Amino acid sequence: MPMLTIDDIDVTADEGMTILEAAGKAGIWIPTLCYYPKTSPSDSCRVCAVEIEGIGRPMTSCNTIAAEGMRVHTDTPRVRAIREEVMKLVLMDHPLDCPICPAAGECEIQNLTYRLGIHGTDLPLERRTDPIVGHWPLIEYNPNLCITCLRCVKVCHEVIGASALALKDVGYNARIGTREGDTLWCDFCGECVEACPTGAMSNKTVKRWARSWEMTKTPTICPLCSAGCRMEINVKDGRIFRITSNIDTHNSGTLCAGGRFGYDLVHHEERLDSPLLRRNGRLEPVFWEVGFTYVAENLKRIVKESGPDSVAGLASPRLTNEDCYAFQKFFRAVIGTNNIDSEARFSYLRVQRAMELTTGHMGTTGSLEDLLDTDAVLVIGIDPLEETPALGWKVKLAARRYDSNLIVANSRETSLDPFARMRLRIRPYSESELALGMMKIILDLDLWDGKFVRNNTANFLPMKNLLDKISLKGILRRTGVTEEGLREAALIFAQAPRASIIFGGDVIQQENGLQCVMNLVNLALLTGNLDRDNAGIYPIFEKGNILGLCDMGVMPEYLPGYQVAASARGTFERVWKTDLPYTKGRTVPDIVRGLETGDVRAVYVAGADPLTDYPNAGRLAAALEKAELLVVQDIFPSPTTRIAHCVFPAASFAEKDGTMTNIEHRIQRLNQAIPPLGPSMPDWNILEQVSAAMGSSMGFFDVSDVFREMTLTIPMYKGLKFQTLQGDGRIVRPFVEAGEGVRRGRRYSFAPVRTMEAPEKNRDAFPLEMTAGRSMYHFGSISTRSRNLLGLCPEGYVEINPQDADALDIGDGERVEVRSPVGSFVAPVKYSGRVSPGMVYVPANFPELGVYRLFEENTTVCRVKLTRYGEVDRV
Amino acid sequence: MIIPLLQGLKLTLKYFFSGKVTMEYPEKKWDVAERWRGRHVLTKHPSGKIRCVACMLCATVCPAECISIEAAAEPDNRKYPEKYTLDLGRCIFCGYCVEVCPKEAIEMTTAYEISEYSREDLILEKEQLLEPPAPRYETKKKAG
Ligand code: SF4
Ligand code: SF4
Ligand code: SF4
Ligand code: SF4
Ligand code: SF4
Ligand code: FES
Repeated sequence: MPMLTIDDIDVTADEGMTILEAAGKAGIWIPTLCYYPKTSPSDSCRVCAVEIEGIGRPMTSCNTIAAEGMRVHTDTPRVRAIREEVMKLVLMDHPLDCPICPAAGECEIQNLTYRLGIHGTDLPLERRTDPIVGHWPLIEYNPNLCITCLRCVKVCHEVIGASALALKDVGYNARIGTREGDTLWCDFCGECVEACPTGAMSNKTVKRWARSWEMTKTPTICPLCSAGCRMEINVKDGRIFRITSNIDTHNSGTLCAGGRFGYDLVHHEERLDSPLLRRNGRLEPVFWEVGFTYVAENLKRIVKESGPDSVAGLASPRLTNEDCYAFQKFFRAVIGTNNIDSEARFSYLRVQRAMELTTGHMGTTGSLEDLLDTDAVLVIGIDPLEETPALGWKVKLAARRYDSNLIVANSRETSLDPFARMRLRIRPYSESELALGMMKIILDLDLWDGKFVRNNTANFLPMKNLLDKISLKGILRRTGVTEEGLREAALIFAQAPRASIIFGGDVIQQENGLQCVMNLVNLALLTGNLDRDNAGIYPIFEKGNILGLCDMGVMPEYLPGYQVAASARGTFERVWKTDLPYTKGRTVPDIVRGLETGDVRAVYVAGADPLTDYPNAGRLAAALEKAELLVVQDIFPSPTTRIAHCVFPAASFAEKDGTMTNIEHRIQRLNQAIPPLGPSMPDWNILEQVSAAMGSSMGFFDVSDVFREMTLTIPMYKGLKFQTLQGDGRIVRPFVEAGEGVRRGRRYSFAPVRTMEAPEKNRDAFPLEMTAGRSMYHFGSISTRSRNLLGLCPEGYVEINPQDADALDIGDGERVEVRSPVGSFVAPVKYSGRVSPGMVYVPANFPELGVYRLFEENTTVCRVKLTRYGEVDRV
Repeated sequence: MIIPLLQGLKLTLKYFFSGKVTMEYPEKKWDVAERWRGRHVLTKHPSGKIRCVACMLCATVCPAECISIEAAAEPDNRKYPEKYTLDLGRCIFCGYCVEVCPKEAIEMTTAYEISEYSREDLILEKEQLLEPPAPRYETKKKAG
């Protein structure tokens, strides 16, 4: 660690620190303009010059590494003259349009001229009058304000990897342009706007309507995906105008298009603005009390007539932890049933089950930050840059900046492919086979971690026997990869000292999801990649608070905190002062069956839209129609609210306090930025009001009451305080100790399972294989209410390989009917080389399409046929 | 005893015959100093366009928080105030808004006759502010 003096103050710098950073550590200010902490220095402005004793010329401190014994001076007449000169050169042709400039108030030129006391320039030059580049979506470039500091170019290239911007031309004419052509091939993360020290890159959505100092910033978290990025909501006059971010956060202030621009969904005009009650077949606005009384009376009546188990509840991963806790308490303590479930049934709970059996962990075993330092990453069945961009960037950074070996296995081309060392284009459904194949090779080549396996794991022998039995040929046939490919992937993975596995929807949501996850865990165990720093397993889920939802016990099998009734009954009965139900409770498929047989008569849905988000939505819709009482609380009308008997308007993420748990199990605070719009209420409060109307209040008068109760009943929340969870929050990972169960007292256990081959029925009638995923710019269906995001991706589409399209004679952009054995929808076709021939890909974000109607239970893959729309009638 | 009485009478008579101090308002009106801080106007370019670029500086600096502006832009990106409201009922006539304006888009006139019968009428919209204040309380009656 080099010791140096800066302005006669002794500073100990870290290895590799620049003089600028060392000075920052010592609290000494050096002006900067082109320096941006997230990127490599571009060294273009020279305003950060300092003098170093023994070196004749001044040095730029932002890219000079601090060395032992350096004596640095930051405030000599010479460097002051340089700074002044630099600023005068900047001002020479700068238009000084501050009154109308979007950056005014947070502009670094303004700040520097002010702080350095520069009052003008004696080098006036003609002001530039280049045309403003205004035709890009969401972002605007004003070349006249640009100081070519390259921060935007670098952040786009180094942090995001979109490389949409480039420096064009040279010398005085140098300006920023697009990488190629006129289109901005951009991820619309808005990082360039955040990075730009001036008003040259600006956010179109705000620049005219509010100025920086007029808005108050409320720190909160982005609820859209499970990365839980920290961000700041900027509000003026009760309206959200933009989202900014802060560099010292766990996501380094980096947001994706959803976080940065998706905020406008909060003010969408379709927001439910009154409680609605069905009267004479129509939903009519009523007062809250009328709605509460109606729901309370009917629930009481149904419970009285058919018992509490005739009521069921569905919650959503969009809710906060407090909402979820109140939801399950409402069902367990007020109604008296365990019939609660959510869409986690089809994703997280499978992973949870598989991982609990094998490792005791519940979801990710490491933090997102850890991914930066891992030596090899296997990304399988997911495009993290689309699903959880924050995690995708970490992987990308690891691959690019830290030379981690990236292996991408997917049935489609993913956005990570260009950064991967190995790309395996596998057949859908074959992820599990791939893991088995890699294990077999690792075992054959004796690259497995014998010490780890012997000391920490159970069931290795059955695993070995299974692998011995499998033929590599069969695996190659089923996965569709070459032997060399598989071998190399196995070698890279096994030889890395620390390796991680990231998997997502394609793995989890298939019919074999459970087995598939187990085999990926097996692979990690065989190579000893658990318990090591920077190595682990990262299951990814699409929606914001899915971990929190399950932590809070919104499922029949567990009470909050994954506690079972057998052992935790006492705690809950003491705190809730009531008996816990003894029945087993119904999962989603059971609820559907119950509705069909009439055993379930009332359904209460909080924040969810099962008709858009659950597999086999067709059957579900028919079942829900049968419900005698369907209550939905949500922020927008949805296919589900349309068939409801009573609808309550809920408050959105910007309008309530609470906590959410991200994918790395980081519990973070959500802060209220604006008061609830219209008459809406936070979800927990609606549930409390309904309980009160039923005559047994849950005792929640403030959201902190809910949290306080959580700290009493959930062991892993013990000691947490609502008020002190601000900032980066706290990572709290649930872990189930191995009892006498499957793991036989060992820390971990292999789970030797094979997967069934996908049934190949209907091959001829339905020649194409369809997988559902999501669009790059959308997060669940909620983001389809954001005008900004709709501008980037306005409607659902069907991605198809041009080869198949040719064979079917369907043109790019033409509308087609996509039909599976159980349902169909119509959407335009999009040619894409990213899907292999024989496959189609659709984003499931758009409720109008109802993509999930095409799937039979429990999967996101099915066989379909495409017909040009309009021809359908003739056939 | 009579002396003080005469002294008092002298003062009375002195003022009786000297010039008037009060004025018969509104028949007659005071001339105020050129720098009088009276009702505001929004100025225009020679082309007739409003000068204000909706920079919000006046709204920000105003200690009485009586200015509110909604910005908009023309197709050529020129910003202008779509709405500009100034609540004279709250204004303390400090003149900060005029001083801060970088475009000399807001000025104060010498008009001081700005009372109204309701508070609402004291809230001036952009259209009103763009016109110089009309002379008020004119009377046919000859002053005197
Ligand atoms: S970039 Fe900064 S200095 Fe330049 S016009 Fe905008 S606010 Fe003013
Ligand atoms: S647009 Fe902004 S960040 Fe990019 S080079 Fe110009 S001034 Fe720098
Ligand atoms: S959507 Fe996900 S990655 Fe994007 S800003 Fe929100 S939390 Fe971060
Ligand atoms: S004169 Fe003073 S109080 Fe009145 S509008 Fe201007 S800044 Fe506000
Ligand atoms: S300070 Fe001047 S230009 Fe700016 S908003 Fe006020 S009147 Fe308009
Ligand atoms: S900040 Fe160091 S050269 Fe610009």
